[in-house]
Amino acid sequence: MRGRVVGSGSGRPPARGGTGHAERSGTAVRRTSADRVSVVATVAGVTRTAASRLLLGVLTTALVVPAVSLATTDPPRHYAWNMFTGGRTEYRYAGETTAGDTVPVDPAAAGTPWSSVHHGPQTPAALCAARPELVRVVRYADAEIEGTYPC
Amino acid sequence: MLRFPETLPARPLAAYRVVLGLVAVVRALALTANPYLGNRAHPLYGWVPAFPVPVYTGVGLVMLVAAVLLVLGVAARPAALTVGLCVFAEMWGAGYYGNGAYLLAVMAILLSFSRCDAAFALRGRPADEVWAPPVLLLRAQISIVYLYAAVGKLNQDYLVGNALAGDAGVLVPTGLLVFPLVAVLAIGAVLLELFVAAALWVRRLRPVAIVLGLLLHLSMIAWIADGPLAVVELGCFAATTAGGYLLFVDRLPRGCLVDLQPAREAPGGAPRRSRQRRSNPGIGPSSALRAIHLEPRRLGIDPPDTP
Repeated sequence: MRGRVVGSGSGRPPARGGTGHAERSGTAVRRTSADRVSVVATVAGVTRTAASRLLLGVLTTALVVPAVSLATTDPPRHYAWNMFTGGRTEYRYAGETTAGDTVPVDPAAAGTPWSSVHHGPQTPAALCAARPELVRVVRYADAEIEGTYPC
Repeated sequence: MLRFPETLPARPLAAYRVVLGLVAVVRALALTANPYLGNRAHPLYGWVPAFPVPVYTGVGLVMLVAAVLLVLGVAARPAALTVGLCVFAEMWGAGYYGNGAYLLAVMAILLSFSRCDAAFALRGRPADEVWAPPVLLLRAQISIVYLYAAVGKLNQDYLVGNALAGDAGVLVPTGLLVFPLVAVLAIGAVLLELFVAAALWVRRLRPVAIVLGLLLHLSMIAWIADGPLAVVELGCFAATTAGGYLLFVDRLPRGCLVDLQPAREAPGGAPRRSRQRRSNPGIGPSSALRAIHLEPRRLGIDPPDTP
């Protein structure tokens, strides 16, 4: 192997002068490409085509499954890659009147955008302003009390 | 039109195999311990038969062994497939569904399609390049996760910040949880996920996407985690997803992993330099010899005999 072009397999001596290096270099580049082709050839001929189709099918499945889940199910969904989207938390409000009674409060009374904002103190403050008879507003996230806000 | 290469570098794929294997080790321990921590095992669907807890303990232990083999690169492809199937068994059989576990299962199965043992493997089939389609499929899965994560958040409830405020952990200052601010963060998160899903495929935008993606995952951990277990859970998910950025890089930073393989054979039979050595050409006592003996190879000829 000494002094021979790497992988040429011919044993042919290098050409004289400067062109010798160029040829060697060129042969080496071709051999590198052949190397890569040999990697590809591990999945050869028809098998390689079949493998490509199989992978295309897997890709299609990977795209379709979350789309179907997104279209046909409610949060929290499975197989749809919906992380930390809040699920189906039901927010509701109740108020305590000056007479000490507890009454349900419709968040729509707070107006836009507060009727759909269920965090922070602004929505309870807006409800207090809309319902002057209230002394306190309680926000529930599902069955749990999320917070109590004095008016 | 997008043009894809026929082969891709083996080392980033192998590095992702190591990352996924480490995540699988943690998940295997967690899934195995689950029934003993009070989380009752019951099938996710009615058609799945119910098995006693020891069966799922056994599945978890098999997964643990497979995960270790995946990290080491010993029978890596069967090990990856085993990890994926074990996670599905735990999810469907014992009902331990989670997006993180599901992602691990999907990525492990897709990894088993690829030549993930071509580098950083104790017993692998060394190669510099691997067939590209399975790697492209893994890349696509990463983008699909970000894409659907964003699409699922396109609703008023999320965009006004209710979900972010509701999920806020102990580290989040109360002052942040006010309307316009949380809504801006929520919209920003959706835009960021869409950007990362697309920009990972664009060479010029890729570094920005990787940095922003990492920041997104780190900030989500800081925002949501309310204890060490949550940090581990979220960290596993982040590693599975953000670890996938490795699949988009053309070469690894120098010296980031030690190659476990012996010197590879060049086509002509001469041992090739490993990239690890090439990255530190001036280090080590034999660097001068390498300079003499290896430089001719760059020209395509064999060096003189080494004494």
